Amino acid sequence: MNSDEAKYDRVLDLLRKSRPVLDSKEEIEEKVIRIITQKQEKKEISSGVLDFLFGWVYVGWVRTGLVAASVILIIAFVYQQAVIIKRINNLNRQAIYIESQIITGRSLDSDAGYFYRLAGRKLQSGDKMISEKQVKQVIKSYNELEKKYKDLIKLIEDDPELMKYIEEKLIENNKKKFKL
Amino acid sequence: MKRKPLKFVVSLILVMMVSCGEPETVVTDIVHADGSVTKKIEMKNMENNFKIPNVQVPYDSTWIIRDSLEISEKGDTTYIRHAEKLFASVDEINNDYLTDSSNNEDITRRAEFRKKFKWFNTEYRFAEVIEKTMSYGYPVTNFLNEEELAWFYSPDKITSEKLNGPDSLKYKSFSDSIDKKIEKWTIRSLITDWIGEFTEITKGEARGDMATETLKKREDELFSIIEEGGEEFDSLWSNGLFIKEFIGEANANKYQAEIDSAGNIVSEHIWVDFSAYTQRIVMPGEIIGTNGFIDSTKTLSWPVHSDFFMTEPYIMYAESKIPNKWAWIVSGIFLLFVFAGIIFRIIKK
Repeated sequence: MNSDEAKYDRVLDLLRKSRPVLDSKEEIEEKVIRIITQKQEKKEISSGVLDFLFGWVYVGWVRTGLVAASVILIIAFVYQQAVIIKRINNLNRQAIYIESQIITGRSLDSDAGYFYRLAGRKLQSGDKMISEKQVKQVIKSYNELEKKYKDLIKLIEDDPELMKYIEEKLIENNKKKFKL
Repeated sequence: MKRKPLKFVVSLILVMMVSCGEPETVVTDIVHADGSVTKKIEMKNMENNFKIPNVQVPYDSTWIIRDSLEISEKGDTTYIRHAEKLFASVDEINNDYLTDSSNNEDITRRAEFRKKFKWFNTEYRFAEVIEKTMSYGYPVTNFLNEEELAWFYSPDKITSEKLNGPDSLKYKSFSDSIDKKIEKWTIRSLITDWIGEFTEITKGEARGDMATETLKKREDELFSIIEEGGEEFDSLWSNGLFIKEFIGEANANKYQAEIDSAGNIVSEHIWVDFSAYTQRIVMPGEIIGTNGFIDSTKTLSWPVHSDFFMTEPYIMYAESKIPNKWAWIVSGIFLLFVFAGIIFRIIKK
């Protein structure tokens, strides 16, 4: 035995002899026991939840029942989807696409037709729609003009010669306008 | 010499009278998932006449009505009326049909709605049904094959496009053969309907040559006579000569009233006062079945002509489905749960 080894043994002896003095030995024991117990409880809780959730796997008839219900659900889903897909495919085969038969048109006031007839001339609208707003504006302007020139209209209506002259002028004007 | 053109002119006037009065009508049923239906009627007419007795489907002042007009390049005015109403259920639509005073009031119409919960999906079926006018007629399916039936039920637009298209000759001959079959079907149905009505009027008590079985056995004979007789048949029938010849003078005299009554009923069945229109249906969700046509707006569409419901009810149906998302989620969670349980058991073992 060399001197180093002797020194080491002496230190170890000293340490063994000089143990720490514990004030509350029981308290420490309790603490240690508590920590160990808590760990065990945690383990028990997690396995308890799993057992609660999946406890049915240990009951034969419940297990069989739930597995059977799952299988039925899957079969029902596959069958239902297959039937629907088949029907949609048949539909695609039988479908004939035709031109839409929606009748188009927008709301107009009934007096719009009256105004058009009153104008007695071709409106350059083609098959296009005259918007409701546009027609309302035209009618409004027409009514305003009629009101404004009420006296003049009365004067013209009362004088057949003047009326005839105005009509001729209007026709002439229209012919020029429409290049007839 | 003067009578022919006059007859022609009168016929032309009559045709114009008939065709000018009624508007071109498109009826759209927008079906909602709760069973309520928004009904839209779009009418187009050269005259501003949308009075209810002039229109193909019933509507009244409780509907939301919008009027509009279109002016063509030539200056022709077309009047358009939009009428719209939300019906809480098909029962309300059927009530309207019961009190129908429209141009087509003589026919019996009804709407059907069915909702079926099928866990993963909810399926809907909506149908507009027109009841048959003849009680004893033969189904058209006895006379036309599948291809011919498709032509028969096609909208005029499709058939006329084919008749004027590149294969016009082929389609013309096809159309002619169908017309002949339709004529045969009409006459056959007329005969069987007359026999049926006659039996009903006599309560099956007629015996001998007028017994139902005997008349039924002579159906082919009767058909040949009518087919060969052509236009002359009408006058022979109205003079009573045909029936005297066919069943004997004694029977004709004995059952004169019943024969005439049955004849009148059959005439009413054949000459139904009906104006054609287009029916459209918009369903909730995805369409999975229909006997209609799909138009360019992906809406189902049916032409409605009087031939279609002469001997069988004309059922315009559409079926659709809406996936139940919550059911998919619940099912997924359930399957996961069972699967996890099985894995848990394997691990525990």
